[in-house]
Amino acid sequence: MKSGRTSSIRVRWNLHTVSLLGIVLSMGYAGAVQNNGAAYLLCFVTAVLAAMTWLRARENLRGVQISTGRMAGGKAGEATKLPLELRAATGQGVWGVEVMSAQSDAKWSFIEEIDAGGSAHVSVPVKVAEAGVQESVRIILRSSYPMGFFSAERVIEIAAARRIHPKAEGSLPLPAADTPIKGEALSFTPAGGRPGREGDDFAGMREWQPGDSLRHVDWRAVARGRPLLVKQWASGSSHALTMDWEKIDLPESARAGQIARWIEEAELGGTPYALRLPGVEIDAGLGPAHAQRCLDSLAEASPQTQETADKTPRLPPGHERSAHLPPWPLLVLCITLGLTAMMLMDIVPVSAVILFIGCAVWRLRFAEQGWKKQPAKASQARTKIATSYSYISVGVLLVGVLAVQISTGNVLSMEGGIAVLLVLLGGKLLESRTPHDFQVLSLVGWFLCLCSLLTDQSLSRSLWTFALFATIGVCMVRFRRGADGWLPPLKLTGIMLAQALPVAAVLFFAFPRSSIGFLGQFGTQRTHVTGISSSLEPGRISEIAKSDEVSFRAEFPSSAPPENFSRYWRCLVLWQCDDGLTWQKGSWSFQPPLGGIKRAGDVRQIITLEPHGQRWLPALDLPIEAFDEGRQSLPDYQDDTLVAYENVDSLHRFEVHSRLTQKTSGKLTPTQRAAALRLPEDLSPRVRALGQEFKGKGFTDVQIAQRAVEHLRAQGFQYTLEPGVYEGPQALEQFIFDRRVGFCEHFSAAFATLMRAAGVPARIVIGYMGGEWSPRGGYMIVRQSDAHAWTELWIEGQGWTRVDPTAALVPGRMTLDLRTLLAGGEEELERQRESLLWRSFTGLRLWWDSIEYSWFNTVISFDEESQIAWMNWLGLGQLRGHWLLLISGGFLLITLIGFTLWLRRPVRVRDPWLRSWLQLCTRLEKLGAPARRASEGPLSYAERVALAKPALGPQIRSLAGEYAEVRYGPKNDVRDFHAFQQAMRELR
Amino acid sequence: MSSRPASPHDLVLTAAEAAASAESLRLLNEALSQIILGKEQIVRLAVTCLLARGHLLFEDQPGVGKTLLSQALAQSLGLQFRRVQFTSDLLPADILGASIYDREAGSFTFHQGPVFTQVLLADEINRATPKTQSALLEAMEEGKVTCDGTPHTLPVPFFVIATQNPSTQIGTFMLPESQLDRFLMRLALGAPERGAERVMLQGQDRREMLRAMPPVMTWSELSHMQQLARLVHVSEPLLDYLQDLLAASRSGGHGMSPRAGLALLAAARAWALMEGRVMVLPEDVQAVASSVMSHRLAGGLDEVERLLDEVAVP
Repeated sequence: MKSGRTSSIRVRWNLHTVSLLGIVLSMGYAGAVQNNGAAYLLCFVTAVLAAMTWLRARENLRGVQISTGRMAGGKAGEATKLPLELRAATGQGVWGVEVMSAQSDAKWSFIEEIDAGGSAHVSVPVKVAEAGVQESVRIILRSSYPMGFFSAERVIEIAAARRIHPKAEGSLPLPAADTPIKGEALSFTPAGGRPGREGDDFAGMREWQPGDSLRHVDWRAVARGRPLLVKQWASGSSHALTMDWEKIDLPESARAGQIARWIEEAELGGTPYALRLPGVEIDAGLGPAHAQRCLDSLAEASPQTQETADKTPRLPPGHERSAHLPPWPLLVLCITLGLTAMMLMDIVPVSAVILFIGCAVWRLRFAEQGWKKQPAKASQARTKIATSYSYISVGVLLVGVLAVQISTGNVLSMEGGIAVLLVLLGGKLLESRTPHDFQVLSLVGWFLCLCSLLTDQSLSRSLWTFALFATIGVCMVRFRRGADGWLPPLKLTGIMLAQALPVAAVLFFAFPRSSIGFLGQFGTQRTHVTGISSSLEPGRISEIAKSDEVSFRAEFPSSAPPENFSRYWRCLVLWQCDDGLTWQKGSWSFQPPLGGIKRAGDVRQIITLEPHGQRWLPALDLPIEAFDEGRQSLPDYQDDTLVAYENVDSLHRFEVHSRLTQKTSGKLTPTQRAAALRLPEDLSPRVRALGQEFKGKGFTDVQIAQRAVEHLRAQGFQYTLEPGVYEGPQALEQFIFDRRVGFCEHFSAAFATLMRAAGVPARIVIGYMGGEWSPRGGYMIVRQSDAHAWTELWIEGQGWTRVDPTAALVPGRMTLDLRTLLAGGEEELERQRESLLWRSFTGLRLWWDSIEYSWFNTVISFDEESQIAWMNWLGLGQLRGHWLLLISGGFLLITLIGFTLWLRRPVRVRDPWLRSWLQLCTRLEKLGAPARRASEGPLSYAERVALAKPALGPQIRSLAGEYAEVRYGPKNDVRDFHAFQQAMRELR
Repeated sequence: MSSRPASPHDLVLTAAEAAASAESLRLLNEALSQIILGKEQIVRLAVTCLLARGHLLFEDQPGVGKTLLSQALAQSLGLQFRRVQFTSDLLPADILGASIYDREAGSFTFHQGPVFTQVLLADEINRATPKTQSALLEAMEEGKVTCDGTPHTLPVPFFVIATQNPSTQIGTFMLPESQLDRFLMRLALGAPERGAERVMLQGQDRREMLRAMPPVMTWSELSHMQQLARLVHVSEPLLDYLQDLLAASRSGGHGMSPRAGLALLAAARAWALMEGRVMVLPEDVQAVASSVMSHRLAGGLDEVERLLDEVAVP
């Protein structure tokens, strides 16, 4: 029975909505602060996903069609069941809906899923406390589908009139039966049958009961040996009692109950009764129909205490807060969160991660059993467990905060905050058991995903993070379901992400960007970053050189990449010699740089620098000019090195011009000369003596250097990554005279010290040498293993001149990369190059690197300027800020409207013939024929059309006949579908 | 045609066979319509009921031609016809027969009652007491009569046409729902149209015409067609439609029983055969629905119409 009804859908926000909003904002903020495209992308995906879930939550309930069965009348205070049929009217189907009636404090019924076009049956208890006429029943549908960010509620008022009979109460005795009644009044009572006067209609026999008149006993039957039977007649009682509303000596409210009790008693006693209510008078009668009629009138006469429509009922807690989840989804969530935590390892202390994983294991292993053990018992036991786990989780939190404080030293820093969040997550995990709790965990998981994106922007990391993000999304959908099975949540999340991603991508390009530079930077305290530092100690560079990580990538947009021997990447210059082998930058006041003049032969490079946490910037030796963060930046006058404006904590991209043949100009001031000659006091006398020996008499500085190089070469120094440890003041002496095993740092430090001892101003440059050219990507990869140190000498008239002792001692290092060199030099390289494995491996490595690089170029570093360039390319260069905002907003709006229409799409017809038939009907309607009623069969419709449009008659009759034969006939393949469609199209 | 094998599994309903059946049924209908003027639809439904091996209940005013139609039906098929006039003092034995002591044989002999016939007209069935009614209905359902513990098989075919006076008339015992369910169809003839009535008034006496009417069809032909009617194809979408109808009738409390569903399907099949089709269309269901369903639903004809209007054809 379909019933007239009113309904309204309301989508409410909840706690999760607030958290989600916070996450989206922080993602956007982080993206702006770090200029991190991946964070922006994540932000847009989340925001679009949120908007889509809002629409989905709304449309999910909107797509439900309710029809009701008939509801029996009831007694006040009793619950009656109202059968409902819920139909999924849209092509989307309906998910996870709780159905309850507003007039009931009982539990809801949970409907897992209704297929598109399908229906589900539930019956909801409806309870009414007061007697009266109930005009309508209010049904509430509730759902937090699909991800629980919004709770949608739909209230449906169903017109289902029924009378609620008063509850039988009261203790007054029945009034006396004193009204004589005529036989007619009782002749129609269907129950019939009372012993009575002869002459009325005979209505059968029944056994004699004490009190029956002996006159009515069927004595003939007794004579035949049967028991005492009394003849019954359809009428016969002479007196009826009257229940009069006005005459009951009770307060108004109690009267209805009393009369209901009397009616029960009179029915039991078989006494006819009449009812007199204000405005209603019912003649005496007896039997269920009469009782029903009297009670109905009584209900109508009862004071109307129907609940007012605007009273919002208190709803019972839903599936969201009461369902206990099985361990499987929990395990998946724990694994996902664990992986997310692992990704944060390089900024979060290990103790926090271990604590979290411990919590997860405990929760899965022990707590799950605890929750399970008392499933049937009262909620009291659960509450007890819950309380005990709350204490434990508070303990975990305290321990965690302490551990974080100890290991990071500062809980209040960003890293500390993330670590505490992780610990908090572990604690929350222990006490979680409902979908609501897990939703909190999942949202924190999303936040951790963001944090992981901020620490590392590589493609692989981003992909991992997005995968984890999606998995957490799947878990969220899974929690909304009561039934097992991962396929539906997977499918749904996949569809949602597939729909959100393109929109997010467009927003990514079109949404106006702004860089927030003035607010604090994230990730300033990097604990695991490798890279050269501002001092030279024996073993430091060889340690770095073991790492295969990428340090930076360089593109050469206007020239070919430089030859191997000129790939010297200058990063830092060290002036201060501590003990011969240990060098430091020395404290220098910053000198105002001189403006360089670009020339035709300059090599332009665009360098993408991996974060290293310091301020140096690499550049081909010798940098002339740089453009960093949109500003011109000149090399330091003193060192000829480039310096960033801030610590490089995220991927950094800048442009630099270098002149490979450039000699430093200018003069060496006396202070500089003094600094370039300063030696530590406790330098070993043997080293000093060796320096003096090189100096000799009358040699020029160049000759001195040559002598020194030749001397060293003659000594047979050994070049190795594992030079062993040189310590103490005698380190240099040991290196030069005894062990003669070293790496570039040892060579350059020793050489510079010897030069200073010989009176030649010398300094050390740290940087990288070499680089791997990626032909596919068209850029050069410079890795940490290319780290290098060399020496510069001040030659009068030439300025600072590069002298690389390593090159002199180990010439192979100039043309080969370090690994190959150490592996066995040129022959080894040749041999390797021929092996297919090596080639494909290298190809794969370079290919992946080029993808990473373009990921960085197109996504991560997408900022205001790239946006403008992109807009220019589209020919929309004049569009700025608010226009972009308008475009993005408009696009989003249109997409969401389209999405809504998609959600409201009608149920797709599977059968092609049926689909064609429906198309045909629509077509006929357009041609002016009467519309087909849903309940009309094909042939009768064809007849009706033929009647209205005789011209179409033969065609439509044959088409309808054909369709009927295929659709309802025994063999479905007898007719040609295309011919049918053709004939349909030819219909005019 | 009459030499066909009897097992329904061996039979296949071909389009030609269906067309032939439809033709001979059309002749039957025409012959009947000669007697009962202006009631083609009712006549068709009555024949459908026969074809679906169901029993028929007429509910109408006296004198509209119920008896005439029943007689015509029996005679046109060459079947044995008997009529029992039900009264309030009719006893079961009056219909079924009784065992009477035979002095010569010295034993009880069963004397068959009027129920032992092929077409039985139970006139004004609701005038009899429920006890008598139920005796007949049992015979209808079981196809046999049990007297003193001995079963007596009824002849085949056994087709009951009962007539019932409208409940508004005095002195009737309404058939309870459970017994109404035994009848496949309930039909009402109603007053004839003005034109048909004029022809009837002008023409010769219908009873004389009936006496002169030759059998149109043999019983074996009808029996074969009854088997054919069971072979009419029922597709999945049609079953969906049927079930939707049943479900819709049940959504408002008591609806159609599963037996009613079977009855509806059987009637629709017979109707489809009469239309010369090899498969049942929703139209067939709709054509027979009001006569099959109206006496099974509390809401009567109005509810049937509402259901037909509401349930979409898949």
